[in-house]
Amino acid sequence: MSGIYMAMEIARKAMFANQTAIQVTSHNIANVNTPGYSRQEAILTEAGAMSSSPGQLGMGSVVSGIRQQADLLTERQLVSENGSYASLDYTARAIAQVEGIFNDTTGTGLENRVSEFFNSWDDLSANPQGTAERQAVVSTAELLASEFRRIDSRLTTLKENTNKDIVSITGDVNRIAAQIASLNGAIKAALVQGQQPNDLLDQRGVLLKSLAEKIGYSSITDSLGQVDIYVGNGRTLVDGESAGSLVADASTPAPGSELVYDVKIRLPGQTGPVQVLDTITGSISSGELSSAVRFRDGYLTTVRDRVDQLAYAINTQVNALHSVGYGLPGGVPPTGVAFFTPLVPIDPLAPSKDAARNFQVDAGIVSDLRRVAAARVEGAETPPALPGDNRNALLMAGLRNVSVADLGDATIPDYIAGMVGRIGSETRGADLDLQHQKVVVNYLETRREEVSGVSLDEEMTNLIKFQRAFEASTKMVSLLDTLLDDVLNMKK
Amino acid sequence: MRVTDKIMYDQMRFSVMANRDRLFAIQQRIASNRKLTSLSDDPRGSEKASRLKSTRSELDQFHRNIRAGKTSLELTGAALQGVEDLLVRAKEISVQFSSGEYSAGDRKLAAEEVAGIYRQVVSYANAKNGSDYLFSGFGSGTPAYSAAGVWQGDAGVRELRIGASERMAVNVTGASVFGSSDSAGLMKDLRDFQAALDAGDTAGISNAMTTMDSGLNAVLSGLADVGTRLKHVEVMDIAIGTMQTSIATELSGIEDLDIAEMASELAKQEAAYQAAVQVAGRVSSLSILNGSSK
Repeated sequence: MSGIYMAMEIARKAMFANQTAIQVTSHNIANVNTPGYSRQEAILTEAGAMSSSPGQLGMGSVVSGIRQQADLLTERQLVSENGSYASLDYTARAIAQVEGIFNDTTGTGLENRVSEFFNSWDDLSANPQGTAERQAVVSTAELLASEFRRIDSRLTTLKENTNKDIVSITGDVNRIAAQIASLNGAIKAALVQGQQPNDLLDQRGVLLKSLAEKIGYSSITDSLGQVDIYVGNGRTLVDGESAGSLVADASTPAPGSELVYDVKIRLPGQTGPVQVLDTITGSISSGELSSAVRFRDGYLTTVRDRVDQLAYAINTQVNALHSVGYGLPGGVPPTGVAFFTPLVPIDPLAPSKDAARNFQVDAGIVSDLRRVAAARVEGAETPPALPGDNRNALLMAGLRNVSVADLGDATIPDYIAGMVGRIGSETRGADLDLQHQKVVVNYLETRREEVSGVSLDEEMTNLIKFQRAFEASTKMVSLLDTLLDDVLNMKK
Repeated sequence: MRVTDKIMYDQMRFSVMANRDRLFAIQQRIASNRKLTSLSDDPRGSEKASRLKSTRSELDQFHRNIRAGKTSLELTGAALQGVEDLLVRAKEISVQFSSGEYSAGDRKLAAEEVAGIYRQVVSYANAKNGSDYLFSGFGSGTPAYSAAGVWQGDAGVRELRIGASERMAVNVTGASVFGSSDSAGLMKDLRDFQAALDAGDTAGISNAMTTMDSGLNAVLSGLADVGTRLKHVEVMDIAIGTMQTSIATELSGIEDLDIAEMASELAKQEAAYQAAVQVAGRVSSLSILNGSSK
């Protein structure tokens, strides 16, 4: 009798164990497309044995646990490489926007405007008294000036957009940090109760990965399974169940005029006004946030400096030559006139600052074409200059072939070509970096998938396996039932 | 290797998308008919193209300058030619009347003809190119000579750029061919000649033979100078044309699309894309789900 009951018990346990395994399989199938999900497996073990004569008899099977298939090393690498990918992706997209501003392949950019400007002086030299030629000099100069201002305003817009990005990324970071802190709490609670919170761990894994895309961090997992997160030179962002936050602070005006968005951190539990918070703008190690900051403070500034340098050089070179030249009789004053509005240096150490933004044909020239100085007074000659004198116009037209110290001894067209080529190769470099990183991430993701991914074929096979075992167990129960019937019918 | 569904689908997506990317890039190039659609397509090429375009623009300008210069020189030449013809006639008169066998009436008529020659010479010397007086130097807003034959110009030499470091002079100053002083030079010589004819001053008429000769010589050397410069400018123009052609070729090599090459590239990419799509279709139908009966 005890044999039959025992066998019944074993069959019941088997049904239960295989049901659990089927449930796990079903969970795996359900999550086949869930990002960051790690395949789970019901661990079936023998249920032990009881002593009997002639020997020990097994007592069936039980599910001793649910195991997650994960390669921790790959997971960790994936988090950091994925973070690098996100930051390279941001940089490549940002730089491509700069490239768009300078795209000269259609022939309407700086090169063209500069050439047209110098050509107009050549035309003037052929007819120094011509009103049409003088007007052309002023018009091409205005086109050149507006091209400089257009570039400057587009770079400014890019900077403003980057600031908006910084605000939005810090928001993402804060949301993720808060979610991680709350998951920390749930994971701790489960572990304390002796449960393995596989799905919570997966969710937190996904969040940690997203966080790495936004900002570089270091982390420590404590004995209660909670992850503490540190950013910007070891400042705490998440401490167990409480999260700090980042603040994009626009309250510190730069010495110039534009607002500077600094990234500050409010530690978990920290109170007080923004002013007391630590600034971490310069110490963010990777992620989109660091790319945005570096793009704004690094690349964008560099490109702007190059453009300003060019604008400054053209402005000062043209003015130096123009102010010693002479206009047509009747123009007042006859000489000493600036052609472009002279730049007022904002910063004596960086005289070219904002040169592109303030690039303008001087109002005095626009209002009286006679002031365009095509003539010179040389050697023993005495003013006024003669109306047919074209010697200053010739020098002006020849300026394009003069090496300029402010441009590193390049000529103006060469400097423009170099600038354009440089931006092209920087864009290409950022693209190549991104493509390379994509390969690295793809490789790691495949490796992760190999271990942790769900294969539907495999799950279906398992399903059949567990289904058959379950079916056999049910058969077992009905068979044992007839056996019991037989026993009860013996006494009729 | 344990190949999961995600690996397969990712791979499919990756290869299909990568092929689409390349296909799109080719389409874009063909549509725009350009090899370079952005600077990063060929940074070194972009840099070179910018330099070449700047040089091309300056060469085009040199060509324009040469045209302007030629006009000025040709008009100058035409005026000098006119003066030459007049002086040849004046010379004839001086030779004719130096023998002194003509009546006062004849001399009067000759004097009138010389007066006419003088007026015409002054008018030639005040020839204009547009609003510019050709022989006035830099003071090209004022006639080179007043009606009384007084020099009003200056020694300014109008130059134009015909090379990065080469200029050509496109004018001839009146002073260098017709004289600049009221007390000497062609204008005074013609007036003196006329006065001598009027007065029947035989010595004065004989002297005119010499002065007309030297006037003629000055004009002829001016003409020769203009001719030489025109020739030089034409040679320069041809050289510029050659440079323009070679720059155009070089630029086209950097920027323009080789349609034939692109068409075959397009066909190749289409095939690759189709293959990727077909493989994706085949692979995704392979599954135990399609094989099991339940």
